[in-house]
Amino acid sequence: MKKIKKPDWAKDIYKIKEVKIKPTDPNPWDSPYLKAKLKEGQEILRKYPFPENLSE
Amino acid sequence: MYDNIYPIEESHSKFQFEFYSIGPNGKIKKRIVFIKDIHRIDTFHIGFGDVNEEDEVDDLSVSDNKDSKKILLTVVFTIHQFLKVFPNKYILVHGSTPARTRLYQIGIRNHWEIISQQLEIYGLTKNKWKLFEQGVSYNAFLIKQKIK
Repeated sequence: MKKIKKPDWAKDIYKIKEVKIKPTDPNPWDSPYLKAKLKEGQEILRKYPFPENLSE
Repeated sequence: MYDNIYPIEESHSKFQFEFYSIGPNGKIKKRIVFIKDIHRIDTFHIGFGDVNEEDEVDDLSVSDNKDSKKILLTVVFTIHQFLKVFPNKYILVHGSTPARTRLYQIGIRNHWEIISQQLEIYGLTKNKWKLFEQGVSYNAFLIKQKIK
């Protein structure tokens, strides 16, 4: 069991109780939902790309 | 009230997180998944919703568990955790429907004081990405860890 450290900025806001490590990750490519979500997002970025220095 | 968030389970890879919404409609499993984009290596896509009987995320379901603020803060916290592991990456957020995207926008606006401390938010409006501003309508969002 691993606990996520509470960030300082959230110390008065969040109470983190416990975090359990899941043994495996699902393969996104086995998930129709994730595939569709990725495709939708890629389409947004294809139409409306953002520059690498967006935050500068 | 923002007094707490739900306990979160995370996967080894840090790409998947789960928690349970608890309210009048019972205990509802929620899943957040960060998806790599092989065409844009600085970007992850995020999927979020209820976990259905097929163990698949359903982002069209409406659980109406009277805990939307707590859920939103749990998701925000998870994004923050993820960006600590993968700094300098962007997360693209867009709702499954325009109504859901508007809901995200309202959530960002309502929790701006908390969110803006650690995260940069950009919104897609009029075909351009711009820093998030109150009162502007957006079609999608990009989230990045704030550089201090």
